[in-house]
Amino acid sequence: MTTEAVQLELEPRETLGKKVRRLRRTGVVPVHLYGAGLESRALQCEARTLIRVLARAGGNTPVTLRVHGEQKEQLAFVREVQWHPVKGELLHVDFLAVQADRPVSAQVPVVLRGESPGAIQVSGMVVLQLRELDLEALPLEIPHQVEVDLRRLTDPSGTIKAGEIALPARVTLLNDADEVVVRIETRRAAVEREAAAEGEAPAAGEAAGSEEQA
Amino acid sequence: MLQPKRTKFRKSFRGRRRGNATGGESVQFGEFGLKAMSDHWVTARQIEAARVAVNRQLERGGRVWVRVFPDKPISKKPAETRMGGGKAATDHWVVVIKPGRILIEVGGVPEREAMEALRLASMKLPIPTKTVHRDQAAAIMGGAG
Repeated sequence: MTTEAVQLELEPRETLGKKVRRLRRTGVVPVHLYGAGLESRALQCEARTLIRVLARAGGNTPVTLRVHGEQKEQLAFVREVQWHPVKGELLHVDFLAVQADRPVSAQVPVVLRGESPGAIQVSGMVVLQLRELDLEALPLEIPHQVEVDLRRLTDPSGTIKAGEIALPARVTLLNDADEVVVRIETRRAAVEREAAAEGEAPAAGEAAGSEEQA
Repeated sequence: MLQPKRTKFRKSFRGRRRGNATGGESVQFGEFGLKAMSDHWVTARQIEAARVAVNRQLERGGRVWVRVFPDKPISKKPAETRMGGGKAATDHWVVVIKPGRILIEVGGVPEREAMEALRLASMKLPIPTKTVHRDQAAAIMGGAG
């Protein structure tokens, strides 16, 4: 399985330091590109384009970067994204350059599919305990997401462990195989209500009788 | 109510609240969070009231994370006391909140229920807040590696 890299064109950046504020006001986001054997480069990109690429690539899909005016392409992962804590604006993006023939590790989000018969049985809730799996593979073979089929979760007390999740070929799991990824949580309130209803069933009959007498 | 078990100093200066939150500004544990939109001192009593409001709404289902801890002692002179005589004893504890700080997180419940619980919690707090979804940033960032 090969992941298709997302394309992004960046421009070299002259504005450095606190002056990047002016850059942000014009809708341009400062970007950094660095990696093993590569000198760190200050780049920039339009915020709208960058957000679109980030939404598609996430942190585990490689992005093919091309600097404006240069022929060479560089494969990279989004390493860090900085957001404004209040306004939610994109402030800065770091790209980590990787080599296509060298395995890298990435945190891949777990996505749940289907409904768990076990959870339905006990009116419980499926809890995603481990949101991301640590996987190792070649940059272009890292899956965008890992899907977990909940239909396998038939036992209300059952769990799905990291080692039980099917991964594409040539992808290695770095997490502990016994680590619980998905489990069913029975809602205590629901359990209590059921217990109370069972206990009250005969009592309710008596109460109704006493009301009639009154 | 939340308060430190022991402190290095018994009393503290008031301090100033400048700028935005530089830590604890994203949802880390649950799926939904309550984000402060202005700065304020939030007392241990207000935090506890918000926590209880969330727990009552969720009927003890799901999980709640209180992301702030009141570690700042606030002193108060007794009523009808003449000025002077030094700084008074600690009256209550507060946490200094700056804009952007996540106050409470909720997980393991449907979105509608979580949003209602956080709305009720915000009613107990002295600051404007907004509810945020973990995926708002995560959708863009994915599983950042």
